[in-house]
Amino acid sequence: MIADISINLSGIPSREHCLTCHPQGRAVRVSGRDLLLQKSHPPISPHSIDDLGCTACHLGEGMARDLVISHGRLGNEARKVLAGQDLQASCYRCHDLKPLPGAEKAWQGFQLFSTNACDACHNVDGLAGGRYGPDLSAIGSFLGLKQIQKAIEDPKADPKNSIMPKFSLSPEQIQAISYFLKSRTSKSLHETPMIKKVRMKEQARIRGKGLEKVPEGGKAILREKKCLACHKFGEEDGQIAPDLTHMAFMRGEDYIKTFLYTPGKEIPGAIMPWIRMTQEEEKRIVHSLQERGKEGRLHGTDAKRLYMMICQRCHAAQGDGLGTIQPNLANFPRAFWKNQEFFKRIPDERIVKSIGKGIPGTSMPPFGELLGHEGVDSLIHLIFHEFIRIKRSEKRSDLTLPTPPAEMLPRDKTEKDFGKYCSSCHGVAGNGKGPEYLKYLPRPRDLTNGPFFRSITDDRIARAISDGVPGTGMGPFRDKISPETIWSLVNRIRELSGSDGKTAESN
Amino acid sequence: MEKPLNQINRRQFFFQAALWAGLGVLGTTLAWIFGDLWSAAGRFSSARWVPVTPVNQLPLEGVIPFPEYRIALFRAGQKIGAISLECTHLGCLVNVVDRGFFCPCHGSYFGPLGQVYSGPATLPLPWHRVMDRGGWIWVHLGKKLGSRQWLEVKQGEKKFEKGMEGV
Repeated sequence: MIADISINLSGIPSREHCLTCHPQGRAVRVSGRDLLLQKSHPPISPHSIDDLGCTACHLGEGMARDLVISHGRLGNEARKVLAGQDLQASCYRCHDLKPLPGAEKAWQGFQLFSTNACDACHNVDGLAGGRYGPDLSAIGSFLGLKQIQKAIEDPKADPKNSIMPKFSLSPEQIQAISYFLKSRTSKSLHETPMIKKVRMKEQARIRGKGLEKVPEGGKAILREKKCLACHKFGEEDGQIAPDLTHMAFMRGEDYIKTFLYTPGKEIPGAIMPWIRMTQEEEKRIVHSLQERGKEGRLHGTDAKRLYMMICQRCHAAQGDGLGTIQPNLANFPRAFWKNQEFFKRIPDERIVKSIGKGIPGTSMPPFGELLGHEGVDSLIHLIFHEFIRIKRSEKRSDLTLPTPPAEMLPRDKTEKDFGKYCSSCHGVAGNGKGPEYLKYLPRPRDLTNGPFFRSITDDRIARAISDGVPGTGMGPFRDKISPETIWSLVNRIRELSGSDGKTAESN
Repeated sequence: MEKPLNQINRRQFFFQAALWAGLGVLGTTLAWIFGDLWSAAGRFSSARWVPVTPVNQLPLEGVIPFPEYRIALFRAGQKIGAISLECTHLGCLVNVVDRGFFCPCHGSYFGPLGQVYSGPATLPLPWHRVMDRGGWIWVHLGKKLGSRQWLEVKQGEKKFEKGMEGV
């Protein structure tokens, strides 16, 4: 006998045979060919099985005829049967987003979703999120609970080139967020297309107005705009993005303002999303960032403390460049530990300049003003003494660079060479995302990084091509290609980065 | 007595008057119903011409994304184009980045005119038809074009002289 029920969920007709094996919704255990009835369905008033059927809450495929499909174990487990505590993942498919008895964790998940600034990148219909990451409005129709949890737990597992940072969330918090996201489905059970459209229009109106009340001064605005969900400021630390405590002091107001609107212009490849804000809010953010800068410089602080305060987040406490926030930076922080070859080759002035003036086009800010000469000097001493383990004066005399030829190779020949020697890592367009770029850490340099290449000399690019860069995947090409090719490639890189015609400042 | 050809009696007159009035009401009702259906079909479909933005709001150079319509508008001096923001791999919404477009789902990278820089996408971003009506940019959202299409806007008109100060 097949128990056949038909129900109508907000205009979506649905027919199910679940009750054939689960009479009155009872749990069942299979033993051989027999079904043994287990505990009965708990009371669910004011809901009833006659009105809602089974799959509206429990998911699964009501009309399937075998165990695997009817229990939704195929297709990323998007329709996998939910039971027990997991059942609250279905509540907000129909109910509006407000606290519900029995769905506490799902509600907590919704709150975590917004406090952790997930909505800065991900859009969810009705919540007016950002458009930087994939749209999650229907994620519940594509992924099962386990898959959603995995994606939050280790975003870079699949796909490997994902730019989503790993958030510091406990397994319980991840579970709560997955309950909320599981309820975002493509077929909404409570909104007709018309209602949806009306709501979206309302939101656009509210969004246009901006926030009415912006809290005064201090860190409040940074918290309000969710900067601190990722960034560090003072004692609060999101453990995902750079420290903002002294950022306005080091970078200046103009840089911060440009960065807020177009992060990719200052640091190509930066993963920070563009945050929607009014001019008033922008002013307050800049203001509260500057407040801290007035407190003064870090002159006369012990070098070890300095390193732990300002270097360690990116370059790591052990100096290998694998700091807490390294996976989220556009460029790999230079490794110090056992990177003797690299530091033997670069002149001392370049190290001083990198710390004092920063490195354009990367997340390395200019620390000169903040630390003073002695501070920079003591840090360099510490790095050489503790991590690189060579004398600061110990330099290797370089092989002479091939002299630039009078005439460069023709353009199509250079492009061919670029395709042959460079593009497997640096990509055909030079954006550092060639087919093999994931094999290397530090990742291949983004050759379209204008600010960076504008700051370095032709000699340095030629040096990197002919002798490689120690401590990275870049090998020496001196013996593989001719001097003309090397210099033609330097020209090509100048073109790609848009830094040709601009004389690089002398070192 | 023979009846004149063009004369009708009272009964016929009422009958015909009622008939034509009825037909008129019926026709108007049907026209209204079909008209409403016609407009409703457009209201819920994205495959139509849509006014996107006034021309003078566009910066003179640059790419402005309109995620709600899944397109971005280009402006290079007098030329305006509309490119689709749907990734040709699996249809995610791509981001406008400093030089080109980046898909957050699987990391496809497109050049400034939609050409493929790195996969998994293999096809360039398609374009849309654009027109200029009454100072607004209209884009046809239904049909995607394989080739680039530019709209030439005349320079020297007043609306172009104010650049993009406020944008």
